[in-house]
Amino acid sequence: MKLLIDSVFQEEPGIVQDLREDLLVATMRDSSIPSLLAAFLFSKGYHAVATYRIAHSIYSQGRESLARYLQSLNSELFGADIHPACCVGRVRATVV
Amino acid sequence: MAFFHMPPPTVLWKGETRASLSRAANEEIGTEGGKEAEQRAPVKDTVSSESSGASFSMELQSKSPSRIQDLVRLLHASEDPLWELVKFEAETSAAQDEKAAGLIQQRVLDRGGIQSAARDFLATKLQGSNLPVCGCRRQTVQGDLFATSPPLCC
Repeated sequence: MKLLIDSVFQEEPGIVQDLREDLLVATMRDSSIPSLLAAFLFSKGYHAVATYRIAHSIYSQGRESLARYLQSLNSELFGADIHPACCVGRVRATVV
Repeated sequence: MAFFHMPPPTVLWKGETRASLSRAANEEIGTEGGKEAEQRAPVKDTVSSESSGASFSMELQSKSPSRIQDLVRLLHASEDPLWELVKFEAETSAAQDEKAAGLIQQRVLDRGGIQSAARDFLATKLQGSNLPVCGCRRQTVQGDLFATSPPLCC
């Protein structure tokens, strides 16, 4: 899994910047998150979005089964069933 | 990037409140999101030292000025100021709670940046029996090998 995530980060470096922005936005908008550290370590919402971003990148490469596997894990672990084909951020509409 | 020019949300300097930061963010971004968040969850303007779970703003305010100046200098010099802030919070939390220090050290302080930290953290969380490490590694190695030496596929 570590190798898979690493390869995704290398193939699509923009994901790392997205993760930074997600972390900041989660801390700013969620009043229950007191700090960046808390968001990074303990926020299931942030973890779910980070997992979705990896799944979305994999889905974009045409590896649908693996992307759906990550979607399933995301739903199971973090309680967020986000389809890997949908777009989160910088778009008009989001389907979750 | 204008995103990082405004002060980070959890770092409250003396005289600053979450409400004032929300207003500043509204002016910067031009949305009403901060106002809604303000109405949704009113935050104390003054932080009492008797409140349970001392907030990070208090922790920061209790730091010596030289420590804060070091942080500001570090933020200006760093390529990834957000991660520097996360590390700063991690150091503060680890110093306050020794039992959590191991977790924080492993997850944040030992990592070079958000990329490696997120990778290791998510990999640990998502690691399942359906995608064993050996299989993934074998596929990756074979994929690279076949890509560099196509005749091997025959």
